[in-house]
This record gives sequence, structure tokens and C-alpha cells, in this order.
Amino acid sequence: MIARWLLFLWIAAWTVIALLWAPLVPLLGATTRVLYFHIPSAWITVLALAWSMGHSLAYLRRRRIEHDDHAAAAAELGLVFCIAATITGSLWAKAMWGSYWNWDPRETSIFYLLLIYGAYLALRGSIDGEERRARLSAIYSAVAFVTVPFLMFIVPRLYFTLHPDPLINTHGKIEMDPRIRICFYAMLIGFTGLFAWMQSLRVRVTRLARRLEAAAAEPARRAV
Amino acid sequence: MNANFVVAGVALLVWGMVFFYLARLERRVRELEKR
Amino acid sequence: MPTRESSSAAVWAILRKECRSEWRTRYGLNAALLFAVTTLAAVSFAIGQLGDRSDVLAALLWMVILFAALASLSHAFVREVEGHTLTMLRLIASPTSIALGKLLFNLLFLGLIEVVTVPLFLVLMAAPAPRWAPFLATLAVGSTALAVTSTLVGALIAQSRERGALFAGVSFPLLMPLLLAAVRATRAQWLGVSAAAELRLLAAYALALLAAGLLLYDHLWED
Repeated sequence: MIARWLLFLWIAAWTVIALLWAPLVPLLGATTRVLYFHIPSAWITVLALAWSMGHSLAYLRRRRIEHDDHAAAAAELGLVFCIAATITGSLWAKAMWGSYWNWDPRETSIFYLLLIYGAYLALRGSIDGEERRARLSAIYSAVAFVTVPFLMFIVPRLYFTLHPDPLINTHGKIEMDPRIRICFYAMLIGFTGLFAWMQSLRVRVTRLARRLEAAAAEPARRAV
Repeated sequence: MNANFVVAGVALLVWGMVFFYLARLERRVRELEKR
Repeated sequence: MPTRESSSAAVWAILRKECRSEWRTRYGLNAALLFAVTTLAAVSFAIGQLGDRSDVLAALLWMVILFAALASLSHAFVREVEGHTLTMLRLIASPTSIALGKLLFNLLFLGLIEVVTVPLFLVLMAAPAPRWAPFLATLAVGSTALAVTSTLVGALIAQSRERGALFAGVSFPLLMPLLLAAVRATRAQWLGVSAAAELRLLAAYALALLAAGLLLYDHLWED
């Protein structure tokens, strides 16, 4: 439990530091603050997707239900963080450029991830039978995995996007004020820890539910 | 300066709520796992 | 143990069977054509002629095609599952052959719908004369990608509960890159600009999904 307390302290402390100590980015003004929540949320969205898809592929190869548990849990969490990223991004867009939604390439990409998560979870919800649900949703995940690179090509950064690229240019170099940078990385770490904890909880709950179901079926089996 | 303190306060409150919810879940899951 | 037909023979056999059963009643084809023409009529009625708006024209054309596909291509596997003929099919053909047979049928089906809908679209919307080579290429490659995706998703949701509502929602994320590329390519040919990049993307997309599908179809029907 101590590790989790430390995680909370880490996130809480760096939130305060980021809000009260780190400077503002000149281009963004007071809305700078959103980046400490918006970008880590988007990062976790992608991390969760990769985690989920990885476990889906592992399930198809090894057929161990633990992989499906992880894939499903990560998808649920990914959806939550994706919604958070989309909403914070949209509010940021409204504050900065006066419009909530513009189909700017990054907005399109996050919407696309929202759709994939939604479709995956809808598909899972409609299939009965644990093994079949695991197998079919893993197949869908594998196919979606194939389409992701194409979206990266079709929403190119070749033209001007409203999205703040002065912060991160196309070579991936981060050109932020060092004070912003340290708070930003700290929040990334904090969010990742948060995701790891939530993922662990979600998977354990699934396993408990399965144990409970098996235990409930026991007396019926024994009676036969 | 004032607005920043308010935002920081709200953020801390939200994080606190999130953490306590997760901590409660954690405790219950551990308890159920022991059984 | 009955012997499995050789793969290509199985694929042809399934394609012929699909065509024959579809032709016998023609319900599916009629319904799909009616749907496509209705959508087109609604669009034309609501918007009128758009000769100068190549961007809107390109988008509308692909939306009509998309809707027609979403409405009609989901049924390929549902019929088998409901009629319990899937088990029999699997006795005589590998999953990949079945899938390829269904894919070819869906392709034919979509092609037939487009043969009727696309000229009608060009006429009703008073579209400018397309540059036929890139225009038809875009239609061909885009429709192939559409059929490949729809066949795969159709196979997935045939085993689920909410088939109708689910098909569009589950297909759309997979279709989004394809839709964007196809619309851009169609618009490009009206603007006189090269659509080569988008066409390459569409072709790569269709191939990638076909390859992924061929690898995954074996896992689809294990019970």
C-alpha cells in the first residue's frame, strides 16, 4: 500500500508544483496548465491501446485467458483516458482557437482511437461465452492494429495544424522551458503509475469474478 | 496568483477523491483475494 | 473423414453457391439497390446539383457507397449462422477458402450496386466529367478495401447478438482511413491533381487487411 501512497503524493505534489511554480508557455498563456493533464491522458490512451492489442495477439497465440483479461481491462481504461484526453483537448482548443472541434489531424487521431475502443468494447459486450468473446475480440484488435499505421499516414503533418507544435517539433525534440519539462515528465510518470494500478485492480476484479462464478457452479457440479 | 491557487486546490481535491476511491477498491480486492 | 476440396476449387464453389442462392431470391440485391438509390435520391433532393463542389461531391459519393455496403454486406455470414450451414461448409472447405469465396461474392455484390449507383450519382448531382482512369481506379481499389473489411467484420459479428446495429459501429473505425483516402483521391481527380499517393495507400490498405484476414480467419470458427 505504501507504493500507492507514494504515487498519490507524487501526483499531488507535482500537480501543485506544475500549477504554481512552472512558467507559462508564451504561445499558450494561461491554458498552458492543461498540458500537464491532457498530454499524459493522451499518452496513456496510446499505452493502453498498445497493451491491449499486445495481449490480444498473445491470446491468439497462447490461448491463456489472462491475456484476454488484460486486453479487456486495458481497453476499458484506455477508453476512460481517451475520453479525458478528448474533452481536455477540446476545451483547450476552445480556449485557444475559439472552436471546440476542427478535425485537425491530432483531433482526428484521438477521435479514431475513441472509435476503436468503443467498437472493441461494443463487440465484447455482444458476444456470449468467455472463450468466444476472447477469441473474436482479439481478432478485431489484431485487425485494428493493422489499420492504425494507415491513419498515421492519412492524417499527415505536412500541412499547418492548429495543434501546438512549437512545443514538440517533428523530430521529437522537446523544446520546453526546463521547469515545464520536468513537471511534464513527472506527470507522465505519475499517470503511467496510475494506469498500472488501475489496470492491476481491473484485472484482479475480473479474476475474482471468475473465481466466484466457478465457486457458485461447484455445488451444482457436485450434486451431479 | 489567486486563480492558480484555486485551480491547484480543485486539482488536489479531485486527485484525493480518485486516490481514496482506488485505495478503497484495493483494500476490498485484497480482502476478497485472501478468502 | 470427407476430403477437403482443393482451395481454389472450394473458393469457386462457394462463390457459385453464393451467387446462385442470391440470384434465386434476389431479395438481398434488390434491397441493397433500393437502399442505395433511396440514399442517392435523398441526397440529390436535399442538396440539388453540385457541379462546382468537387469536395462535397467526392464525400457524398463515398458516403452513398459506404451506406450501401454497411446495409448489405453484413448478411454474408449471418445467413450461414442462422441456417446452421456454416458447420457443413467447414467440413468441405478451409476457413480461408470460405472467407475468400464470401469476399469475392461481396466484391461482386458491391460492384453491381456501384454499376447502378455511380452513374446515377454523376447524373443527378450534375458532377463534372470524371477523369475515368483515376476515377475508376479509386472506385475499384476503394471498393475492394471496403469489401475486404466488411467480410471480416461480418464474419466476426455473425457470432454476436446485436448483429445489425453492431456492424456499422464495429466496421467504421476500420473504414475511416480508407474513407478519407478514397474521398481525397476522388476529389483529386476532379481537381486535376494526382491521386497516386492516395491510390497507393488504398491498395496497401486493402492488401494489408486481406493478409491480416487470411491469417486470422482460421481462428474465427473454432467451435
